[in-house]
Amino acid sequence: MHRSPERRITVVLADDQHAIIDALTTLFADQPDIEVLGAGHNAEEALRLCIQHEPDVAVLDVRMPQGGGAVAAMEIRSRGLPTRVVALSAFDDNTTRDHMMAAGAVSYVLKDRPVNELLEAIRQAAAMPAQGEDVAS
Amino acid sequence: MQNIAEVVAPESSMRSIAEMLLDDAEYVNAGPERGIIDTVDPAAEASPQKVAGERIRVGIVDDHAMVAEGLGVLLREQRDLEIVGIASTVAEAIELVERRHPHVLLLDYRLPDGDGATAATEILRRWPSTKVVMLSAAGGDELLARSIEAGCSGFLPKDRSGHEVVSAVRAAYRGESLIPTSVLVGLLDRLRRAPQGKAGDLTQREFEVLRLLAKGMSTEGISSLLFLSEHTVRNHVRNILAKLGAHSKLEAVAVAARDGIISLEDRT
Repeated sequence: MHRSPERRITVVLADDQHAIIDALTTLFADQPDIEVLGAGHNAEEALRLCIQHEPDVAVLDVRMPQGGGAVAAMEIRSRGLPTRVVALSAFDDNTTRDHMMAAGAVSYVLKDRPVNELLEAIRQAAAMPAQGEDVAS
Repeated sequence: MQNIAEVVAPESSMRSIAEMLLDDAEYVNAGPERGIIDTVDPAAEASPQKVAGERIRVGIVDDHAMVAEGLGVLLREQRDLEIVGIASTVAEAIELVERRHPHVLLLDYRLPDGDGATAATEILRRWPSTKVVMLSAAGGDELLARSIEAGCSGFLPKDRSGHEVVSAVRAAYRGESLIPTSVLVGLLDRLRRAPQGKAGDLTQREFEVLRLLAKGMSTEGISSLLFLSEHTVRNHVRNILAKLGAHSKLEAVAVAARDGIISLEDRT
């Protein structure tokens, strides 16, 4: 990991519940090590933001219009973007979880957990090597 | 811990953000994550009747902690709003209202121990001055109908922005209805109760007030438009509800529109 203390973790958020996006954006604004670069409300917007900003982490709701988080996660991976995907989900079932992990998510956070768990998942994801990054360097 | 990537929160962040953000937070009902989060000094217990300059007391009920915390943060940024408690079940919601007397309760429709309409019915039976705004991830006329029948002041799909949630809380507090006309029109023929409106019993003045209610006007707005005191307007509203067999202004408007007493298409 090459991040200096000055370099904040860049994040893109996507969830079709607009109030959740507004709330998370507000919450994250208070985190000194996290910077939200953009927020979308469907898979397509999420992908567009990731292509545009190449954030460290994308927090993707598993169920969104125009393809959920899995569609966006697969696109992020197939395009070789340096973005790690954290899945955000209201569904505590193995099928949804396996689907997201298979699509390339590095963690799966449930919405019934405190926000702190999402923040920690983002920090851990950012500390992981991105695809194409030389782990040994 | 459900995450696949093992998440270990450092000591300093073990308290939930809701706890840190909400003053004097304490959990009741024990349980590390569950339970009502009390956010006010018990000594400052206020009556549910808001007085000028006092903040609107808001309770949040959602079993998704992240959603509840997020809403709490959004609402807390507003100077005129005060979060008096957060709950995650129907049972906790009832306890929250009993102990904290919120003016407005934001209630998630789907809860682990029951649905929001049942919770709203019980809460409004015991504390009728509470304004309940139903939040629902999946819209649907059936949920909307049940919410209105339960006496809710409003119904807000979760795809609405944080700003709209804030507006909804303020509008509910003022006694305004929060359902867009388009949604209401679609709902009308789904209202399951048999027609029992007694339009003929409405006085000319009550009919006038009903039409203004259908336009989403507040008691204050109606009183200034009709040159009546707010007290008088409230009396008219009470009579309208009784004559139409409705539990809320919103239901009165829906019933009146269903029975052809008023036309929602005229609203604009």
